[in-house]
Amino acid sequence: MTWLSQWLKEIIMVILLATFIDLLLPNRTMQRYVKLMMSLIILLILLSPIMKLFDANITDELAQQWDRASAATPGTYASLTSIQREANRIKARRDEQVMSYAAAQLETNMKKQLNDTLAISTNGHLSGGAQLEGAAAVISQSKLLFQVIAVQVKLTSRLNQEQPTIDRIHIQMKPVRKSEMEQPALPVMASTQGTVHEIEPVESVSKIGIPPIHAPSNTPLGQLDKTAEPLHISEERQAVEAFVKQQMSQQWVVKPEQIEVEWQA
Amino acid sequence: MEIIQIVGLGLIAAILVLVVKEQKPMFAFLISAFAGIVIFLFLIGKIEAVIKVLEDLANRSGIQPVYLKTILKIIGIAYIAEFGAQVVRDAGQDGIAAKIELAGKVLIMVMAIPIISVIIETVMKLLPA
Repeated sequence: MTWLSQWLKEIIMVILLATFIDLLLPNRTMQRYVKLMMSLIILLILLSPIMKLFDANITDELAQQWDRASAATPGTYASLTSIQREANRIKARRDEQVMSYAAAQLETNMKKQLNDTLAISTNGHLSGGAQLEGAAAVISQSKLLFQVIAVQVKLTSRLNQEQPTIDRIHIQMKPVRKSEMEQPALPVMASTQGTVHEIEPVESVSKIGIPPIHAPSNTPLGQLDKTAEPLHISEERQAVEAFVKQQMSQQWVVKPEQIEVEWQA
Repeated sequence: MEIIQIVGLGLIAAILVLVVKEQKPMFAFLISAFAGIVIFLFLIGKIEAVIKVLEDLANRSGIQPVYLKTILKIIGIAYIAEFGAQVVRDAGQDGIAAKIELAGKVLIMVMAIPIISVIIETVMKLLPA
């Protein structure tokens, strides 16, 4: 019985549509043709149970024929606009690839250069600016060696500019002990040493709570030196951050606000 | 309230055409064509709503999508041919307007050919040879 109800539904819907479209139509000249068309469709739907006896899928066949008829005129040649759209799409993809390649190149260059300058400054020879003497001094005096692990560069291209500009620079840094850098340290080893070094101050925080003021200033280089380290490290880090930002903004023509530094244990 | 806008636009355009026609008939035609296009574009948005309702109804009743697509194509052809013919007729070129209408009719008839062929084939199969 379902096919009967479906058939009736189709007939009713198509007739409703036909009357509605009769109302919508502009004027008489077209109306005759449209009416003929609508009556043909209604006839087709009325006949569809009989059609099914002979041929299972008339509608598919009809759809195929209509598609072929409509595709025959413009389908053989792609239109100019579609070609241009395709060209724009390919160009955008190529630009993206070029940008990512340039960013990767910049990243490796920046990392190498930063590590070089940091290594030089820790050895004491530095030709930095006058206001950075303090930072350079802090870096050269500190027991830690600061290493750049990764640099991420984000490039953007403005609409009216040919060349892409540097949008953000993200630097990941890690402190490493100097003594371990003497022998060629494996990265795994360095990282484990780093974590051990980070954990040590945590247990000694309770000690620092009792003499809060004169603990960092006048302690010998023995055990108590480690209690002073958290404050010391943050100072050093700030100094190194300022140094790195200054170096980067000098070398790569970026604003210091565009550079962000992240520390890793 | 949209009907007031449309009628107002039409009235203004008509008055302008009457004023301009004495001096420059060319500009009078341009004004009338422009008014016609604006009204047509305004109506396209409304027709879209009607067509959406029709599609929704057709989807819910489970009618074959081929039929609805064809019907909508017919309406589109009819409207566009009619509009173009009227604009051209305003310009005083009745011959070209008639050709545009003819093209619309032919395109509608081309859409009818698959239906006719299917029906005729079925009838031929029904009749014993």
